[in-house]
Amino acid sequence: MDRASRGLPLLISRLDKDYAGKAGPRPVLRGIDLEVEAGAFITLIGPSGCGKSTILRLVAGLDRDYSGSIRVGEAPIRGPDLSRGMLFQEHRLFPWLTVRQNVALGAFHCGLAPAAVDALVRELLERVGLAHAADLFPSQLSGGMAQRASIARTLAGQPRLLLLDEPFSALDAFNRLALQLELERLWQRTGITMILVSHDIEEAAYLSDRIVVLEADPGRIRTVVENPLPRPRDRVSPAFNAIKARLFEALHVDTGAPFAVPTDPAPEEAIP
Amino acid sequence: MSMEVSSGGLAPPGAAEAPRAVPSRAGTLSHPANWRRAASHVASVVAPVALPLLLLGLVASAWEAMAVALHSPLVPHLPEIGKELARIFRGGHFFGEMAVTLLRVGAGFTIAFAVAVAAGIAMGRQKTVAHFLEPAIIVGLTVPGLVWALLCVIWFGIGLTGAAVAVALSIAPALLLNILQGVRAVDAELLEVAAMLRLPLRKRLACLWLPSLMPALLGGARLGLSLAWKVVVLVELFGLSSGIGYQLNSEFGAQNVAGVIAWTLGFAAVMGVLEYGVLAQLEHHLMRWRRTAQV
Repeated sequence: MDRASRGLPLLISRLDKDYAGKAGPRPVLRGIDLEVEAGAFITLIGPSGCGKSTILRLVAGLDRDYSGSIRVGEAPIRGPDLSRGMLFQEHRLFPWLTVRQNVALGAFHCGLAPAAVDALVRELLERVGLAHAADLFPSQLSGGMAQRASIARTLAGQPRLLLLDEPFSALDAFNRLALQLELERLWQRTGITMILVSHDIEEAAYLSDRIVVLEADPGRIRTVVENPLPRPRDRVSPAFNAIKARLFEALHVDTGAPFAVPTDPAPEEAIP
Repeated sequence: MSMEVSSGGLAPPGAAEAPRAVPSRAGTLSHPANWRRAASHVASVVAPVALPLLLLGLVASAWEAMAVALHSPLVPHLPEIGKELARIFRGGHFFGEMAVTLLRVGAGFTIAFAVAVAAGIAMGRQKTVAHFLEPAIIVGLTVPGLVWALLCVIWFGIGLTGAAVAVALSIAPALLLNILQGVRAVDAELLEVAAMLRLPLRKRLACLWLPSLMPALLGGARLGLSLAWKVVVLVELFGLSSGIGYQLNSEFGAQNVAGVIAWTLGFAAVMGVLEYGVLAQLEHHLMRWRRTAQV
């Protein structure tokens, strides 16, 4: 499959979602409209309780109690599907299976022959740099290795839309930076549509083409920040900081800056 | 870009990130720290054998002291018990009876285990099933094994069926309770992963349910076996003409205290072998993925 046709588009319209509470239903999401074109990389960002993880769970098909419409590709959501892969904050590997067995489980539903699964698993472990750890149990891995194994397991299902629920937030700073870079390369190589939920403004600015800022009670879209910076992106350039400043502003976070922050990205020539 | 990463997509900068391993124990034997380590190594090998033997020795000595002090036929001396042990083991007599009893326990245990696993998963997953079956567990737990033994002898007469059903009825509620607790403790996050990966039922059972339930199953197996032995002896005592319970009863009838003790010791030894030799080994193998705390 070539890069352009690999990703699936996502179309959410008039999405409402309630959670059952003791004092009647509690609104979680209200009037979410979101269009993500095939192969795009978008980030959902917002305070806790804004329902950003809930959106991912609904798109994943883990929760089918909502009103409005969610369409991935041509089809509406009918439960989980391997075309929509999901990565969680925790690695969620099966602790009693080795890394190799865990990754093989990701390809189980594809109906491949055992030899083809073996080859696929070997290739994926090679790609995430875990070939040497294939026969270890998850308890023997470091946090970064476990999350890499989890990525390999999700990729084994050949997803065309990847839902990332703060997958790097529990990692140390170096592993987080490294995995962000690897994720960007994966996205550029495969063209899988990526939807990331994050608390990390820099992560959002570094990875995504578009950042959807949500607010809480009930969760709704406050604003959308376009991020047209060319890749590879320079995390310390003025233009990058301008995007971050717009995100801080949209999230109503006081950065402590002595001057009013610019509301538009700095012009390209500002980059030395 | 402040970072330098090898090309080729998802290649880790942390290839140097080695799996956690025990640090190598380099150094010479003359160092006191190594002496201490060697001593604790010897202790860790010897202690699991020596300490239980020490307990057995202490109990045997206390018993012999009591026999000497009381000087009563109700408390036989160790040599008398030894003689009885030699008698029942001669010519494979003990093992024949033991095999008969174990067959009855095994049959009842298998039935109870299968029912408890199926009912436990159903109860843990479906509230309606749980509400429906809960009274059965409570009643089952309160009915004494003696009652099941009597009723099964009456209903099924003498034979394997009655013994197996009595054992199954007596241990199933406790097993079920154990397994139910295990089902409720199954990681909801892993259930979500299984759903995301579209694993079929067969794979879910093999890769998620059975491993998750393994501690509850092993604990249940221990509990079930200990309960089963108590019930099967009652059944054999009331209605059967073979097995450990029957032999215990006939020694009792002959007022042979040493004989009763000898049969009990023999049975306890077999259960010990089952526990340490089979169940503990099985647990060690099945739980090898678990990280043991270092503190």
